Amino acid sequence: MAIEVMLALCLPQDASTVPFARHIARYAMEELGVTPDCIYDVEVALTEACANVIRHAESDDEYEIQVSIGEDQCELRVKDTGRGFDVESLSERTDGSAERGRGVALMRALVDTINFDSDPESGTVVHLVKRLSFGRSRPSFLGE
Amino acid sequence: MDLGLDVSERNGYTVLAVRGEVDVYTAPRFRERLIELVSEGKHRIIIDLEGVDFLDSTGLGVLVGGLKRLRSHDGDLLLVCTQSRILKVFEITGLTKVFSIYDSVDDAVGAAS
Repeated sequence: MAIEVMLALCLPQDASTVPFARHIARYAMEELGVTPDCIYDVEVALTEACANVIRHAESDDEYEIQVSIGEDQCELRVKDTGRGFDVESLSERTDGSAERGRGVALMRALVDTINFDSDPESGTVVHLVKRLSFGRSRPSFLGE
Repeated sequence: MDLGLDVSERNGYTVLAVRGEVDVYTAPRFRERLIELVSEGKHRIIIDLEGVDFLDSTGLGVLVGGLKRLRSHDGDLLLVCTQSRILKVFEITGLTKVFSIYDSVDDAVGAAS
């Protein structure tokens, strides 16, 4: 039987919510037997997507995170409800002395697909998909 | 998880041992502590990342900022890290070429002296 774990979070755009969301996603993947290295990749990608929202936050905005974990992949959707922002401004920097600008490079390297959709009316959505690998602790209801 | 920032001295180097998760939430405290140390005249710093469970691009930015600040004082910043997951974020972002990364504080001190 196919299973899907879906988590939906609506949070204030405050940096303290980022580890909260990451820990919830981590716990779900641990319970499903996803390998630690794969979990870590998802955690970093989710953190970077959330950090982009926090950096562009209006003071009293909220943002939404959807985590959908299926039998072979994890989909992350991070949506802000602000004015959106210029996706081009997130392009990767290669200058070793830059203190910012590495988040998109990390996301691209750690997940299989990444899409940005930014709109001044509805805000920005970051959509990430990561194929999952499972270890021996995979729960019996997931089958072999 | 709390961020731990423990300072000690070793052979003329100041060792800042970081514990816990360094991300967009905790990185400002890490940045502040590093700036404090530089302001106190500590210009040769080893940052021990062995106790770090998580590091994101904001944390990387703190380290790059620290390196720039120290080099402007003719100082240096060395890293200690052996965890493959943490090293991976340095490799992806090309920062293994920017930082000197050692397996232990002893190795870092030994290489520098």
